[in-house]
Amino acid sequence: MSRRAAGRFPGFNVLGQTRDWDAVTADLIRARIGHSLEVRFFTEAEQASAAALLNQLTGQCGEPLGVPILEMVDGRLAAGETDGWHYADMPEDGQAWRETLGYLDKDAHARCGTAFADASEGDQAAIIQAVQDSREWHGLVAKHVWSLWTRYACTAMYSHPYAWSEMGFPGPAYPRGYKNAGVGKLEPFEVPDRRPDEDPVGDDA
Amino acid sequence: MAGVRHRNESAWLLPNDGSRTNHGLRRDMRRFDDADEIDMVIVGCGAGGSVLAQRLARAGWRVAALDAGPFWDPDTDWVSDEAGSHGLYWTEPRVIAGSDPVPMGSNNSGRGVGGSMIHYAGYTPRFHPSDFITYTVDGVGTDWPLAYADLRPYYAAVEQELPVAGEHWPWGDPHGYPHRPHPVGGNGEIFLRGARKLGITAKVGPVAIANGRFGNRPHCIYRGFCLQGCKVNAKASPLVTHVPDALARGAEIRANAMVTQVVIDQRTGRALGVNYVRDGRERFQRARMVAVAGYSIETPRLLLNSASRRFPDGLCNDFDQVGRYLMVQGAPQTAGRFDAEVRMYKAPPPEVSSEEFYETDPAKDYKRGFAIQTVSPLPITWAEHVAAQGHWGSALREYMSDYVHWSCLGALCEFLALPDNRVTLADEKDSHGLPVAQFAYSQCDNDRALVTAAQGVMEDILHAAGADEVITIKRYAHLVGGARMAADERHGVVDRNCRSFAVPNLYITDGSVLPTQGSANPALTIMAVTARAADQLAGTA
Repeated sequence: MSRRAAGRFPGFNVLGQTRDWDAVTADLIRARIGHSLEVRFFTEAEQASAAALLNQLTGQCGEPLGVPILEMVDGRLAAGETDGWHYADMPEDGQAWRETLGYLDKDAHARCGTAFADASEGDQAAIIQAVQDSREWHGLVAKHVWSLWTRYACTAMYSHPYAWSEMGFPGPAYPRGYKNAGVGKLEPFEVPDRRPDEDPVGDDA
Repeated sequence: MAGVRHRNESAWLLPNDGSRTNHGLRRDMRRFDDADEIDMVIVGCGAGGSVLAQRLARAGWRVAALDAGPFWDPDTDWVSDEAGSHGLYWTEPRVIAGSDPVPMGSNNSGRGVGGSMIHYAGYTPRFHPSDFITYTVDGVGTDWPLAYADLRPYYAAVEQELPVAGEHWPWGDPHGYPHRPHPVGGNGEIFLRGARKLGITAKVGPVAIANGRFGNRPHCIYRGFCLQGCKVNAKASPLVTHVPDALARGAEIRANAMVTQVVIDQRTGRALGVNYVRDGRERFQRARMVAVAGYSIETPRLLLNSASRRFPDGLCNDFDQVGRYLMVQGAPQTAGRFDAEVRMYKAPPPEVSSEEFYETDPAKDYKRGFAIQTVSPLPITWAEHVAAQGHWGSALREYMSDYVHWSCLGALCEFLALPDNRVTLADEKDSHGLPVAQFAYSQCDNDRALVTAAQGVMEDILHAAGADEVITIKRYAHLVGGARMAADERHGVVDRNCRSFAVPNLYITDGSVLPTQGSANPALTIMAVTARAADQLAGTA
């Protein structure tokens, strides 16, 4: 499936446009590219399951996009950079991550006798899907667990310029702005979708 | 606009050299001593606190406004990026509960000078006259101790100060706007096209983004990052619309000052000032009057954390009103897919709105209504919309690669004020050792009916515009209530002039005083209610 996510905007590379960005923003985005590989929050065991989970959630198993998603999520948790709230029936975010990664291992051992990270991609996907399909999971409200995972995963993935390039989004827009807004209108630096009829929704129907 | 400059010089006090902050004005700011008994100490420097500071400073009052967050410089503190704007949100811990818990943070909670208006979209509609009498006309909610006519002159005054751009507004109390409507991008075009096909009236605006130069504030560059703080100074927020004038008139803005308690004289029952923490030190600012303007979560939390012998259950809480009747708007977002490229990120998210469904429709089995507006989520927020459909993994990634083809509308549904939707203190403590807020929210049947109806209308509009598929995420927007104004102390916390019933020299001037919310974005009304309260206080009404 993700083969079709790639290649819709041929030649479009957000990082080729950094000279048009203000310096504060450009420094911030560049830092995401050279992301430090040092993991500070997760333990080694947690790190392996977190990487597997995050790559699964963001569709980076079969075809990696190169977004250092584990490091980005780890960096947020190490800095205590939460969304500013947690559900009354969940622990605070850091603790909730540790606990739920532990439960994934538990499920993997029950299913295939391995840690979650060592399970096959198919087994991992089945374990994740079961969480999405449940009401309750290891005593937690499953949709609150799902919300925690997908919020951190999506925020990391879609703050990365590799993901922006794949979706045709030019990223930072200051001080350049846009001069040619409107249906079907492009800026000189935008690239049209080469497969505009590929409606993912229609596919599912 | 000469009249505006005469009343509020903010836009002319900003630099005109391409930078965004008047550093000299901040450097030379008047600074009071903690021991000075100033005329008014204000807690929070957002929509309410900033307007109050500016108005009272103009009237010659000695005023300091304390804010827990930073004194922003758009050039160096803000970025043209979603994730990098995390610091704009109040992310101190909060606990959410109830049958329909409401996420906080980026959704509705600001931080620093300018408050939530730093990251609001920029929509500034007025409330309708009916919003002030929903109990009388519809038998739901409550009646305000104020009428629309009391606020009308303040709406008009603030609209000029922001200033607001839009078409002539046909709904509620029909009125015009000081600036002409902005050109629209792809998303606005889709909304207007679909609405026209269905015979639904939709209008461009009302948006607090100057259309043209305003003072030294430059023209909007349509970059689409309104929710990440306007690096251009084109979108209105108190940081550029009221704080500069307040400083020039002798007010102090004391940033990075977290107020922890309103201190009450146990003998007289009057407020003496506020305890606050700055640079790790606990301090006390003495004042003749105190105004709390921390918005609907932090204002009730501060009152509850200010319990004393005289007020054992929390300040102003003798009748168990503090924290209650807190409201959010139901804000379902419906997106439609077009073969053409919409590229909704290429314009301010606030473009076009319709208040056609705002009032109670006697033919429906629910009361009150909803507004529909363009919203144009950037990639992270869009991923949340897509993920809400259940997609993850390669399906999510494939959907996301289709971003340029989607148009997105949002509704604001008037959820009703209910007593059990409230802030209480949780067991959990923040970094100052103070109990954090727990916010419980549960919808009623009328609320759910409105969301369903609004989603249906948005789907119809997008289909009429040519969408082949639509997807919806149910979410919430805005906060108001929690310390509402009422006719008496058994039904609310403050009177029509924002003065607390319990403490004669304590005021609340923020969104928490609103008794109902309509289907309107609340910023303009918070400013208008505060501007009116300031007139009453200063004797300039």
